[in-house]
Amino acid sequence: MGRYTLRRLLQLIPVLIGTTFIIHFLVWQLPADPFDGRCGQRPCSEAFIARMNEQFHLDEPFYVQYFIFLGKMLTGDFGVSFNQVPVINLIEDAYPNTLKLALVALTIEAVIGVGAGVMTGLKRGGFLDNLVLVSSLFLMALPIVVVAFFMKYLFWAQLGWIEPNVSTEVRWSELIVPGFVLATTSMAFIARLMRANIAENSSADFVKTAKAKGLGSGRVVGVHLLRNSLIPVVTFIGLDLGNLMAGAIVTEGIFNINGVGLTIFRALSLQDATIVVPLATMLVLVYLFMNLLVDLLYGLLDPRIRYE
Amino acid sequence: MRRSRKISAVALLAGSALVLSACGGGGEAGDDGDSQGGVQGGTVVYGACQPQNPLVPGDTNETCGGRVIDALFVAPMMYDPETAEPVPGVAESIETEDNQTFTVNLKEGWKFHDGEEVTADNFVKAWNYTAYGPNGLQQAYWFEQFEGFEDLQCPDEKCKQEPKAKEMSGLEVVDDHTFTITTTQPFSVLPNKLGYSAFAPLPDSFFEDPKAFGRKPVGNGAFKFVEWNDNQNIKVEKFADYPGTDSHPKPSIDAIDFKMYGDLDAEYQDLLAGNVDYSYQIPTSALAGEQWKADLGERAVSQPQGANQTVTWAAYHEDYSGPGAVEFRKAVSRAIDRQAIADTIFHGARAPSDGWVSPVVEGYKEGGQCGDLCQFDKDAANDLLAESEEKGYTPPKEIPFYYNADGDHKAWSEAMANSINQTLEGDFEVVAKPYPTFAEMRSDITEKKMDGFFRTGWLMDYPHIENFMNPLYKTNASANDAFYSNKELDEKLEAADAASSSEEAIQLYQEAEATLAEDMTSIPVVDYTTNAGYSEKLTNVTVTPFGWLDIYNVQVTG
Amino acid sequence: MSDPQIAAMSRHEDEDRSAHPEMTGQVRSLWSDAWHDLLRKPSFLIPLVIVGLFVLIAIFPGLFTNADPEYAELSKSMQGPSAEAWFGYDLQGRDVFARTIYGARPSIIVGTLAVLLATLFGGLIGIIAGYAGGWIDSLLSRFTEIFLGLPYVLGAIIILSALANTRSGIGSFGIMMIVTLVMALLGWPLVTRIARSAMLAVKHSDYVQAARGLGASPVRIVFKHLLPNALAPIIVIATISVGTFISAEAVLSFLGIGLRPPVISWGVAIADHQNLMRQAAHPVLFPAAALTVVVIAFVMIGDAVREALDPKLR
Repeated sequence: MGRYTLRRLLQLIPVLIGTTFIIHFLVWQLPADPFDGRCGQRPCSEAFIARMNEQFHLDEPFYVQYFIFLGKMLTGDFGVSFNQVPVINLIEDAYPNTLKLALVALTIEAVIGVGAGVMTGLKRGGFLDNLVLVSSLFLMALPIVVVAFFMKYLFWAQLGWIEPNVSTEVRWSELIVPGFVLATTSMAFIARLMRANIAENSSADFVKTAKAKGLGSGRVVGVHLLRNSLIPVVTFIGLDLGNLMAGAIVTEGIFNINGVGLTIFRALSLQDATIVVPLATMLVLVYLFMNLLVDLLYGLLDPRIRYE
Repeated sequence: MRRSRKISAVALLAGSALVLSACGGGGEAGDDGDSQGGVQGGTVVYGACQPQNPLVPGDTNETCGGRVIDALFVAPMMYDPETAEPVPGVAESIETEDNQTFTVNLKEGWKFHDGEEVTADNFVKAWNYTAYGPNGLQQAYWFEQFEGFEDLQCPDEKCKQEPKAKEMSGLEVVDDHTFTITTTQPFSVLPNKLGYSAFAPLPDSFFEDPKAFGRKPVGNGAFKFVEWNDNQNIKVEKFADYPGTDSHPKPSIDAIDFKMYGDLDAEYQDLLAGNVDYSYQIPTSALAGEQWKADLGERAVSQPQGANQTVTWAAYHEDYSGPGAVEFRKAVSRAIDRQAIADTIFHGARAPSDGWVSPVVEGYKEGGQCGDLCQFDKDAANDLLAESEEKGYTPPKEIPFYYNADGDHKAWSEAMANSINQTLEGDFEVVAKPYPTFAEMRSDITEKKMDGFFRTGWLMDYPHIENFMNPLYKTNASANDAFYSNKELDEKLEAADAASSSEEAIQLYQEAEATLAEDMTSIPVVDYTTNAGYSEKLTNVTVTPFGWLDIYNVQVTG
Repeated sequence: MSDPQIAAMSRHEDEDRSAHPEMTGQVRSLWSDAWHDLLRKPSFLIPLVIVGLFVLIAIFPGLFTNADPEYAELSKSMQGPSAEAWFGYDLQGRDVFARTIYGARPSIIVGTLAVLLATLFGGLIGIIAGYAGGWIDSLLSRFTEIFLGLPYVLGAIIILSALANTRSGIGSFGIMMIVTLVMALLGWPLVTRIARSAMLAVKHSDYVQAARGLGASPVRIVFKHLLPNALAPIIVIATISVGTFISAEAVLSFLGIGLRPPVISWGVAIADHQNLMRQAAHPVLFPAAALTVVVIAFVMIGDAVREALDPKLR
């Protein structure tokens, strides 16, 4: 296990370098000069451009810029944005918000998804089963923007239960509705995954054995069936954290949550690569580490899997 | 509608030496506030956005930072909150005999927020710093009419060598409260310009560490800086030693919280929920069907703003030049149903343009200078098209119209293209094409790479016709996007700059504006309207022609 | 947005395969079995008819409407449904019904083509990696992970922003191709994963070992035994992906970085009119409904195919 972990960690290095290289390449090679929109309707003065070039090494070849960036990232220096705001400030502001939102979404999708999955998996073919099957298909197919507008309209404009926007403090209670919106697709998927697993495992040998041993049906369901059926769901939830954090842009925009996605989206429209690259890199880091963690966890949960 | 204004401070510039200020000194501020009692204090939450540059007046060229700068700093002049007429700020008076050398007399008793007194030195040093090429500040060009400006610019492109001088020869400190400005040629509008924030003074602490200052500015205005949380808010609070002026008295409110939003809809919903007190833009979703007027009632403000929307032709491109091209542009102009666009797409948030100058500025000519050419008329448009064809002009099959997709310009751009296509009966099509960002579009515009026509807009820096002419249409001007050059126009503008009286200057600027109709490289489309809203907490609300809340007179109740 | 499902589907498939390698032994009967099974199921037939209808609309939009989707009359802006225009008019005064009809083609082309490209490329890489093993597998797996490390929405936004500066000359086709390529670029690694694990499972199955033992050539083993048996999970993921890719395209278009005029797109129609919903909902409602129906139909077909190919669930 230890060696396997180490090997996986080492394998992460080339992947990280490759991914950051791609992001860096794409963002810094954006077609326009980053300064063209910065001086309003007028072209920027030569002196301003010279000042910025010097500070951000913009006139260096691309690969030099990349290595400078990589070196700085390794020492924990995220640099400053074109506005001279330290990027670390933006990260400190945005990351906790996005993480909170993603965690709320994860909790919601896990509770509702697993709940619906267990109920329908144990009683397949009933009315409830069909209802969940159909509604989960709808949830998976509905564009997130439609869901978001609908929820906001319902809970704010009609019922008045929520404020239209999440406040700057980003309280947990304010994140319930945005979290629900973010969770919809995954929630539907978890329900179906859980249902399928339960269905599959009900006829599996170990469950039959447990029943044959004379264990009560509560214990069979609770320990054997649930535990084994949860394994792929746990995997999915783990992977989904990275996805949710990176995919929260639309939700963050509609509820005005000052998160990573929204910060990146705004920085892209200002062509501020100094913000986009470090923030995107951090997202990728989370994503890759969650992947790794899930794989390792998988081994602990599923006795059938052994890492050499 | 403040369409015509006969008297203004600039008008007073006529004749020889003049005194701009009516009453000197601080003046008794806040009469309203004092008399009503109980309405002093409170915080105004001001819908805002993240400044794109450090908060230094000479480095702030966009409205996100501009609104904050305006609360923190006061330039020699200010603009009247209701009429935008120039009124004295820190200056007691600005005197000139020849419109080329101006003597600025400063009031005494003005202080920076760190206690330093505001003296002539603070202005001169700040202006020299802003104009000095190697510092690379965004607003340097504001000083280009000053004598010696050229010597402060970098001699080579990368600024490897130092400029010839560090101080403009056109600035001279006479004593603590007096300095003189000399321009390279007569420029009668200068005092009008001096209300712009780029002309604000800077305290000595700025020069010790300009970088730190940009994050924690120290100004001389009615409000002092408290804190700045990126992408969240900027807080400023009342500065006790602000002396106040007649038009800009000591504020009655205690503090302003500039709360930043990335999305207008989000801001508007917070306005309705009472979490924002003043919002200077209303989202399309609320403008549609006059929803916002129903939502806000009397708290909805709609008034003309000093900004307009034009479209500009790449007349330098071979496809759009040659005999008959002018008639073709005129045909296009007459094929744009401005009224329908203003009503349907903008829901009244814009008004059809009738000239190249915003109606709110000094020098706007009643009825506009575009005349029939800005009137939608299908038959006349097709007549012009036929005339253009007779002269031998053939437009390309596909005429691109470019706009930037990041600024809510899509709907009207498409509507305009549709209007032109369905009006003109020719074998060509106007296609509205988006640039993903403003930046990318500007890049191609300044590099002269356009191959069609494109969106251009202008938000006034100061309320004078000159601001809509010189920077936009003079040969080689900084924002002359069509690379337009018209000798007659240039001569008129130069004559206007050098005019001895304000009336004469305006007369000449207006004549210059009229010449634009001959070529139509720039076609006026719509004028902006400020659509603002405020919360129930605010009383005594005035929205300036810039679209900003008058933070000096507003009061917070409840 | 579409990513999670695909990711998890693939994992789930992985599991099934590795845990039950013996099932691939009965593939031939499985295929025909599955087919017969599908033809009897309304949950497959109904969405199939819907998809067929939309494909027909995409190919011959002119059969369904006489109106010109580009003709705009501002005076009719936002007028509601009427006998003259069944779905009413949009902000520009264009016929919403015509635009909904003409919007089918780009959505379906982009969705299908992106899935096709991703499946071909990703499948190829996965099959090579799974078959070859060793350092080739390691190298290809790392390469795949680099792209897998780019989260879908984030990656699409960054790449499309980088590619978006399209001036005259690109045209509708060019715009659609860019979006297609970017979606394929971000979609292929998932297919690779599935293909690789399917290949691994089949490779180690008894009958392949037997064929090898009997002296069959590698070419024969690959084409006769490995490929046909590894295809099932790839086909399942591809079918489901068409739906999720169409949905993802709509989100990208909504964000203003996917399809754009002159291409008529449902996502753009939603984005353009979402702010006007308090005035009138029909310009959003109809394209959103068309989008939802198509996506659900594709996902349902994929789901049905998956169930049919997965005998355990019967």
